Amino acid sequence: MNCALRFHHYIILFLILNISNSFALGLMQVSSLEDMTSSPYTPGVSTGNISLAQNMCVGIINALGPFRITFTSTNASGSVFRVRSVAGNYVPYSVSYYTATNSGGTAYQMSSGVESSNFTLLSLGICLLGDTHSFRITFLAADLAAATAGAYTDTLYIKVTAV
Amino acid sequence: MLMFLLLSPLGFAATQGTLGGTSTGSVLITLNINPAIQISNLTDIVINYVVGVSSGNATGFSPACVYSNSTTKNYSIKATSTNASGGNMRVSTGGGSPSYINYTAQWFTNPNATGGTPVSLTNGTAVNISGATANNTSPNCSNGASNNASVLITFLSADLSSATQGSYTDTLTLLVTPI
Repeated sequence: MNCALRFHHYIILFLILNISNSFALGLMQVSSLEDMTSSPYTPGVSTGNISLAQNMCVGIINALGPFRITFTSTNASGSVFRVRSVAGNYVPYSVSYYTATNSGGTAYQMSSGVESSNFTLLSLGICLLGDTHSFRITFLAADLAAATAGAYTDTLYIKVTAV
Repeated sequence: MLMFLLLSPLGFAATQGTLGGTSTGSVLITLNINPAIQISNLTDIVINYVVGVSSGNATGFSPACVYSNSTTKNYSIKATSTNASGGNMRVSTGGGSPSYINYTAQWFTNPNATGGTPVSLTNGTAVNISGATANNTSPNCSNGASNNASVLITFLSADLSSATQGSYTDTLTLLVTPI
């Protein structure tokens, strides 16, 4: 019986896989957004503040980590949200973010361009089960009474970031 | 932040975020404010005149708040007397055989009907009030704002002396219009 000297050859493969940070943290999507238009406001006739609200979906897949949300007004002055008329007049408004739909859960007052603290998503998915959060914008009666007549608009950006 | 602003669609409609490490959507917010002007805080004017005791012309005034959300805040005002005859404003005793007394009206851009350069009002004729005099923050001149106009009524002593005794009334309607 021949004795054969057996050698074991080990081949070490270095496998390098680059995983992007975002993939590791989860992929997010904000959707179900709709434009918001107020009823015409007539000073002296209309009363109280104007408040507009809508639900939205914040979805995440691959992970169930925290996220941050940022609301940014195109016509902001510093951190103040504003709508603008063609004539160049402005009316400020506020934005409240809610952790549940229909202005439910906990409300957080937002500042334009300022990222929120961490929020936790309670379920995975990309909005197949419906909306998850909401936000509300408010124009104060005093600001409306002091505003020049006209049509005012603003584009409000909502950004969600996995962290 | 600048990147997502630049990359976002520029259309005037809501956009939905796409799946990624960050996701950005947008909504268009529209606020419509109608043109509005209002005159308020007027009070009734009551003048008691006794022939032989009272002297000179008889006057009375009402303060007013004029609010406008127009860009210029300028306005016109038109005074109309219920008992007018042509361009003359008049009070009347009413009834089947009414007696009348003429009066004049002047518009002031201060609440006390004094000083400045008042504008004489002719019955049924709009007069432009120049200058940015309308309140543009509070429709009722409340919340720290004060009345910014007044109307002064004047009866000439000659007309009063020749008038029969009685109670004379008139409704003076003031119409403000943005200009």
